[in-house]
Amino acid sequence: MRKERQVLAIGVLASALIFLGLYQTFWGHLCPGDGLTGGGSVVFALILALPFSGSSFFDRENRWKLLAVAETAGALAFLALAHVDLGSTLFYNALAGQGGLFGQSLPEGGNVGPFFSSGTIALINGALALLVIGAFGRLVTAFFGASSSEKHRREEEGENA
Amino acid sequence: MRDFVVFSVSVLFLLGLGGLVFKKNLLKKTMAFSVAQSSVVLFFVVLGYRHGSRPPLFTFASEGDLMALPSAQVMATATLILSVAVTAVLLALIVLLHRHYDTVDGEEIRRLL
Amino acid sequence: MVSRRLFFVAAILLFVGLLAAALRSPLVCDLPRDVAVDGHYLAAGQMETQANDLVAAVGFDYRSFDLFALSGLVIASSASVVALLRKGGRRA
Repeated sequence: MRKERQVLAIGVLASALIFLGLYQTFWGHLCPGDGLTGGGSVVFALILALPFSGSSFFDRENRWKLLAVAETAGALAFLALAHVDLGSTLFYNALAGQGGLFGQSLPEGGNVGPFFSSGTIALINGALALLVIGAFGRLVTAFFGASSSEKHRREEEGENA
Repeated sequence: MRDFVVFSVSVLFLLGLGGLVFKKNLLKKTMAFSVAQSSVVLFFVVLGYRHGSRPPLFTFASEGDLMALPSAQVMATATLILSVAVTAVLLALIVLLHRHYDTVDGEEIRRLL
Repeated sequence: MVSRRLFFVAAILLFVGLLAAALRSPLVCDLPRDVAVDGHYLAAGQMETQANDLVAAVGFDYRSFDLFALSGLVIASSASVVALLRKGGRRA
């Protein structure tokens, strides 16, 4: 297969996986899924796209820093959501059923599933997805970076020998 | 049904354990360990199942449905994430060993240590 | 190699024995004896957490501290892999 067709196929697959990951994250309170597995699907798209990004991808400082910022932002958002209701325990779901953002009430029993319900659960899903994208994305980039450094090392040894 | 599920859990676990014990290549040992962790996840999911139950979702659910127990599935998800993290660290250690000793054979590394 | 095979045979026997004992209990694929906690989740979980998905409700609302530990584990594993595989080191 020619390189352009490979890149196009990988682009289609990776976009589909990113949308799947975002759906799993943000509909996690209505359908099966949560932030951890949604972030995992997005990291799967990253793994697919990494070998097709050219040899300068692993040394690109900006992408590395972006993933580090995403990891830290996800962790801090998770901690901030724990303190939503300071008058009661940590992680208390104070936004459920109160109106406002993600505050709709649900009818009892089987229902269609309104999106803006469940309070802090949906927000925690988003924070965890950001955390997993940053952390596992950095992990995967470190693996690819490691193998490329071995290749460079062998090339240098081959030149010196 | 129950016997089949417990039998498949035990077969998966013993395959993983056999690969961990009998293979010399460190990468194959890691893969076998991952298979054994999958058997644990399957066992957790099976513990929460009741005969004739549906998934524990209320979206598009009808009245009076028997639902599977949710805490077992929560434990299964947590075990999955744990297994990913452990496998990642194991693979990083194997890369380091290969960099230092230029082999991934466990017995040869033990000889070279 | 002989001791390894002996160990594996002993592990098989022990495991099969434990699973045969487990098959006798009604815990697997049947109604567990005590559904106090899960019964409360099934009966009142939807209204208390206002979420349709009970797995997310249990895992993210009733058991949020487990998530706390899990996120710490994710960060720790990623940091350890990045630290182990750093390309830096001494350049002469």
